[in-house]
Amino acid sequence: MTPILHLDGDVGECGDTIVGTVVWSDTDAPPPRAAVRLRHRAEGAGLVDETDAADPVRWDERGRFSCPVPAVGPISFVGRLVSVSWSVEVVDLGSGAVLVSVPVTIVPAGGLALWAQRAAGPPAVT
Amino acid sequence: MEDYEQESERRGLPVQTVLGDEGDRHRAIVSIVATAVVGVVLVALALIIGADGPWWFFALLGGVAFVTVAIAAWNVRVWVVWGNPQLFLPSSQDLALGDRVTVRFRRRARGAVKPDAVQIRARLRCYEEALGAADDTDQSEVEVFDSPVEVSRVDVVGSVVEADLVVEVPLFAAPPSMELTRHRVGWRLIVMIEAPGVPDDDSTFALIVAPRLADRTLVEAAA
Repeated sequence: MTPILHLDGDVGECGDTIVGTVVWSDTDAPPPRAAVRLRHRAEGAGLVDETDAADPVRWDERGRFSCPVPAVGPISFVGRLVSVSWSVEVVDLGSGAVLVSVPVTIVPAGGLALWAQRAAGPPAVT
Repeated sequence: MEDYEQESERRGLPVQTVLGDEGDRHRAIVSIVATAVVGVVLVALALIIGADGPWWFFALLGGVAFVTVAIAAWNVRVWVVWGNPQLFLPSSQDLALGDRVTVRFRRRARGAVKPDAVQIRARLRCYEEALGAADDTDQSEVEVFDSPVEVSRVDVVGSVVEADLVVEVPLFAAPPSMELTRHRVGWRLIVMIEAPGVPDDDSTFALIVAPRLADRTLVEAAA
């Protein structure tokens, strides 16, 4: 039973929320203890830090959920020694199984527009 | 020299005081004790063993012992002459990406400082660190940003040296501060002071750069 996870946007700011929808097929009932969690993973020098950003949340009757992003971050980045990535996961808290995982990018508070500009690169010369 | 606390109060700004890096003080004490112990042991060895051996052995051991003791004595002098450094930030908020903030450095010497040739340099650095590598070796640290900081004013009154430093936090060049179990991103302001008659010394201040954009960056982006 694999749900479909839609995010309203795959970039979020520190201190804001990641909003999306979980869709289950008509034939599959979600596990009783299924929930959505926002998680970050730091890697570097052979070490891994995996942390839930907040308590897992449940979706409403329409499958909508909202995960708060901590104001203290960390932001997503790839550094020289350390890199940090974020994901939204639907997880069965009973078994601990991750049912689906979608990557998200977390940027500094107030930085969504600037980061989008930067990701788009310089305008093409015509 | 207007008192910075009063000045900030007059301007309605809260003052955040950051003391010198405790780690530096710890390292200084370790350095002084270690070099003093090694020096004393070498002197004793030189006297016990070297006196009956060849002259060059005695001279070599004695020379190394002398240098070691001298380093320990110099560290003690640095320790004694300079008081604790202080850094004043004109806000209780952490720094932000794209910030441009004037901070005030203050260091009190134990004795008068000649004002004519005091030189202060400063650098802003960011490092990434992995704490406790998988093979149980020591932590590893990589510097990812290093930039000179503008010194806009230096003032000496009696035994107090004071400087205004214009700290510019880059927008994209380095990540904001981060503290996880095994990984860390940290920022340091390093202030190097040279003054006639007193030992050169560095002060290191740990700064926190929050994961948010500075207000001025947002205004510029909107414009």
